[in-house]
Amino acid sequence: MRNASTIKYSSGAGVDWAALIAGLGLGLTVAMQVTSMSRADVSSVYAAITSFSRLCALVGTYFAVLGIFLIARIPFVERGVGHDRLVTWHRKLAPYSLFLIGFHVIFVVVGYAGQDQLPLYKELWAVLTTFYWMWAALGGFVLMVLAGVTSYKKARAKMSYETWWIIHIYTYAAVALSFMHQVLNGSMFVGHPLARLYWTGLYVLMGASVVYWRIGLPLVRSLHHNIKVDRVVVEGPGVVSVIMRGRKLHKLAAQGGQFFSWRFLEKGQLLVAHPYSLSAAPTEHYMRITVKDLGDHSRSLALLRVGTRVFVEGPYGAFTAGRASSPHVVLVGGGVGITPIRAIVEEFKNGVQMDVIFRASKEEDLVLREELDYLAANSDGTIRVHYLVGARKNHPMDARSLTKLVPSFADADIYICGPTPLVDSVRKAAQDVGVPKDKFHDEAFGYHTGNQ
Amino acid sequence: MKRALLIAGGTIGGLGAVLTITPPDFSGTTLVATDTPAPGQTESAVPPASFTGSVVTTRYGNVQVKITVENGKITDAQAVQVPTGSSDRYTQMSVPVLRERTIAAQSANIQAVSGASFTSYGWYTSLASAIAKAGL
Repeated sequence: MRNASTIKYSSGAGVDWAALIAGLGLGLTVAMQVTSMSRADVSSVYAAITSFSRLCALVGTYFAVLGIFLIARIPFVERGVGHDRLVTWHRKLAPYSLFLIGFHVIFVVVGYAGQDQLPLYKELWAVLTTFYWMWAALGGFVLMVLAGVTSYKKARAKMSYETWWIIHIYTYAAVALSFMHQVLNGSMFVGHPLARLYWTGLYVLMGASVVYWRIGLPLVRSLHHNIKVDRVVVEGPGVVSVIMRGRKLHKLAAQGGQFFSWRFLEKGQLLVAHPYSLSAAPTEHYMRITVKDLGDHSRSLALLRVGTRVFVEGPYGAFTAGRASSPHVVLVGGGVGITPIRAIVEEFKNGVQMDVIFRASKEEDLVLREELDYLAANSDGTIRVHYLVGARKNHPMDARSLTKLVPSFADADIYICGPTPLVDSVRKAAQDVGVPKDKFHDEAFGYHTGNQ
Repeated sequence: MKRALLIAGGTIGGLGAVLTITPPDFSGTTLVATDTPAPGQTESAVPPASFTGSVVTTRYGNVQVKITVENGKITDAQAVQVPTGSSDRYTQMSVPVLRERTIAAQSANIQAVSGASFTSYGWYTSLASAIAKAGL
């Protein structure tokens, strides 16, 4: 167990600043359009449509850039918000971005066609051929639509994570390709050096964040810590643990409850990184993940060769012991969702009373059970483990039965990782007994391995 | 909730600040400069003087350029007349670019703006006559 004083907890103030700056950026973006408007913009309906299309483009692009910032793995944002919530925001923001940019494409052609009194197809051709960098912009738009379509729930379910991921990565190219047509043609940029400076600055900052935090830092860290597969252990039916060895791993400042994106440098696994929670608090030399057979990737983990080099991105996640404000915590794990729970148990400082509730449908699904029992037996009574095995109807996870199991449930901080129905019913139970929102901590990533 | 307020506050603050400093101008077209009588039309003087070129008729309308000359250098170029109406956007786009190119080149020998070839043609023809008037 590491000394708690070395762990950095986010105060949340940084995230408040980030929110303020994000809002300010949106204001400046809208202002660029409004301030550069003239009588020509309101001289006819078509001119107004054209003007509106520019506003759509600006706000849509701003949202796209913001969406990239959200998933740029900026450490203080990751710690303050939590990676799962950032991904949720990213996912909610992205459709707005895509629709606004789609409106821009439609309205700009309609508006110009009306002003030039040309049929739409001729105007589309004219727009593509007369303005600067239009083919690049069109290419960017197509890539963005592809990323949007493949992220749509129904389409997403039909393809592998790897295919989706590669198409999604092209969004970076899409955002970059559209840049030149904006600053060279946009009436808010031509002849407005300050607007150009702001917009260029935004793009540079975005590019730098991605290159530094998503690519550079993980690469340097992975090489520096020299992480390699040490052992692969089968924990139960379809559940494997991968134990990795590296040097000075404590310098990564990872805590039990957090996760990394793991990329095993082996044929067929190079391209894609997968998020898995640590299943034990990391030590100076070892880290461990425990993965259930959920997809192609997790199945192939059992076949990993000893000595395979591992590239990591992380640590990510706000599922950390430092977020608890009560002397008593209830930790709920559903199935393989127990893994971050098992890891976070080691992170609570002496004196914190822990009730671990392990929910599984079958006895054999109680992975890492021996370790939990061992930790409980050596905890001087601070850790109690409750196993709830069987059908869902035999173990309703409502306020009544949870309070019966853990009498001080209402006064505790609640940590949960497991299937969505379990998380939802425990969340409702917590609300029913009046647990405030900021004392309920859930981690979607530890459970939905690979399926973001 | 608190963060939503911060975001909304930032947006309103940013928008308000910019619009306070540079509000949009809907009063007239910003492109066409108001013509002031040029003081001397035969030779350049030390104080800034402006020279208006001849009117050039293009397919889309008339183009007329006015330059400001200071110490024998073109410091500004404005459109007195430009085509309006259906091809407004080409003009919107091209005039600031033509202005920049004129100041950079210090002559009428400048590259046309793509998508605005008629306005560009009118621009440097009128510009050439203005430069001739200024005696540069």
